[in-house]
Amino acid sequence: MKKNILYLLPVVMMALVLASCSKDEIKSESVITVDNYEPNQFDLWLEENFRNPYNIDFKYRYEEIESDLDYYTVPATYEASVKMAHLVKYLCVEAYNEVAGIQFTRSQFPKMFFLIGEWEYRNNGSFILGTAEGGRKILLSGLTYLDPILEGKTEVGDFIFENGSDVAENLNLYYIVTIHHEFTHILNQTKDYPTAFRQVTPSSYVNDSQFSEPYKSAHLKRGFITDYAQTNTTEDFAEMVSQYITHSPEWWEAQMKAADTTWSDDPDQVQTGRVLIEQKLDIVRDYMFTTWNIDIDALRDCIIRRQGDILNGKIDLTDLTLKSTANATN
Amino acid sequence: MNKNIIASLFLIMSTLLVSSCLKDQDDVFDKSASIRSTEYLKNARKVLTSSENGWVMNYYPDNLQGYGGFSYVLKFDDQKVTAYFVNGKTDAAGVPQPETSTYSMTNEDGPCLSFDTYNSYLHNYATPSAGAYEAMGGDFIFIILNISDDENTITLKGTRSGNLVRLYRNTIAPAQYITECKTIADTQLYETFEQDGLLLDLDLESQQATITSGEESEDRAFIITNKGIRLYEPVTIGGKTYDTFTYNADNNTYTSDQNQGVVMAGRLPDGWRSYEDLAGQYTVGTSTITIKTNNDGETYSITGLVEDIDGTVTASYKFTKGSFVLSPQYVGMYAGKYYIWLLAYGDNGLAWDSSIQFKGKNSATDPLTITFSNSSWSTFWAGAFTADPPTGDSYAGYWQQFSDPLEFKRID
Repeated sequence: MKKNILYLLPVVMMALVLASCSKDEIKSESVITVDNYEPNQFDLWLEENFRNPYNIDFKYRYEEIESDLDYYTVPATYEASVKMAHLVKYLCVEAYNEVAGIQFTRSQFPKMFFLIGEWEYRNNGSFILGTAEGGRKILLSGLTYLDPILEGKTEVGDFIFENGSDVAENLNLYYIVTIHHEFTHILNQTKDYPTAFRQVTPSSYVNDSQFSEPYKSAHLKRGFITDYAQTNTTEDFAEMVSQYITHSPEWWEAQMKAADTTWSDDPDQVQTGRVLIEQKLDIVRDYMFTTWNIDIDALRDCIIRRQGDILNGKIDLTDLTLKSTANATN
Repeated sequence: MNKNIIASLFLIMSTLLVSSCLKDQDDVFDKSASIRSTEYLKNARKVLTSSENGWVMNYYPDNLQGYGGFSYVLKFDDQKVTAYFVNGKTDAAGVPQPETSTYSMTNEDGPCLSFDTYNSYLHNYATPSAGAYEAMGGDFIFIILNISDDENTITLKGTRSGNLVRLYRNTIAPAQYITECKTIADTQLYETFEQDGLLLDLDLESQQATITSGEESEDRAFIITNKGIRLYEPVTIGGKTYDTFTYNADNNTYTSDQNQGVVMAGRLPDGWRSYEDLAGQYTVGTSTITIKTNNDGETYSITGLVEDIDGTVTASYKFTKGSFVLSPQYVGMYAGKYYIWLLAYGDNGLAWDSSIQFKGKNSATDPLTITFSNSSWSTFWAGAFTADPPTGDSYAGYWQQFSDPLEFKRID
């Protein structure tokens, strides 16, 4: 009994201690403050078209904390950011809405975009196009080059576009494929893709050598849709999806023709690159349909149609009219 | 027994807790840190937008201020900043044209002013490229260090370079201020100014000043203003402090604004040589070099500078200094496979950018000794590359290290 009292006493005293600290008042003003700028028309447009419907933070204003401090980078221009926001909305967000439904986009699509003006240059003259962190934040770099690409220019100063004056292919390469690629990672992280995919070319991945010869130029024959796909199975899967849905059937067939042979450097590879890629494509198609209810052929047709609309100038990439105020004035 | 110990331990510990509730910590500030910083930024924004003719910005890129300073005029409204720039575009009549972009007041590294969308003027010295991944070391995010009590001067600090950048309330039309700065730059005839042994030596290209009085000497980067020059930071020499100088284009004089009666007159420097007089034989370390004019009034050919390499190095003539200017360049081949280059060497490593200029300074006394210097680089090295033009990857090693600083000694 005595012992019990002994044990109880500290507990009672502690309770007293807890109660004695209740004099602090909660102040009415919050200590959390947001960055200080007057929202302009674009900020309001982003609120209406990205933040409210999808909870996407489209950061076109430079923030040191979002930038990679390993590189010297600069902000994107206001004008190019406006156009990029329209491109992301029309070519990505609304394409998924159309094929998979808005609920799918809301719950799965990346929640943050961060834009910068130049590429991330390394000290040896090479540079990085776009990256993504944990599938959540997508970095789109080189916004300085968006206008020249849209105008069909082939180069800016020393910088020569890889696809000549092909607007759609340059947009894909420098900006749009990155978004679909990273989005595929998110889908895979939420629901994993079948292990069968890993068995198609299990020992052909060459992490760190994917951009070196002989692998770089032999990727199709080796059964990979791009050189980057040779990194590992995860990147391979994301490349399969993002390349397939952003290109026409004719483009795909041209790649398959080029892949329609075995690789002479590897006698163990019995099947042609085409057979291997098409095996993977079947798995990809099945995964996207059964897991996410997305028909990748329908998605591709939708994206290609939307690309065409952009190229034909059907979409005004600079229109910042707000639906809310338009309704209000009616 | 054991249990008793544990129980008493609890008791003792609980008494420790009791003492923690003494209410004797008073807040040092009456408001929370984030609220105070928000109010500070709000006030800074109010000051920035309050100036009708905007603010003159004395902008220094590069952590060593190796390019000197550049003048801007910035006009702020609630959403945008409109920039005029001394190296910006002009219309057909030569009137400086502005460029507009957004800005924000953020709290990333303390209270900051951030030019958060691209402006080809404001981000000019920060824009990287394949050949210059660090750009020119310019800033576009600045910590607000101080707003003067009269609200006429704002001191900023670049977050990358750590350089001080100052904003001064501007009282004339922005385009006019920029035009006046250009006029000052265009009317410079000399780079040496003197009054009774007080010397002001300028390097107009890299915008570096040296002030000498007797044995005392101080170096500072400078900026060209609409009246003359302003030093990056004030200099105290011979008991006097110097900060700004007013230029008189009619007499080629610089007048100290801080010290009455200090008027330095432009002249050619001691040891000045004419284009022809500079040619001849010199020693560099233990080798002998031959410098010949190219008969164009501007350039020379130097032979024998790099050991064992059969090639010529080109130097140019700088009239206001009466001396040589030497830059990184290709010299010749070795063993049919190595490209030997004259390279700039310094704390930042090696560089082969031909726009880097080492200026010669002539000794006042015979024999003529010419000392080469640059504000960002120490001396020259000769280096071997396996490819031409050079790249970091094709660097095979150094060929020759020159003394620091590089000196040419005349043989008469």
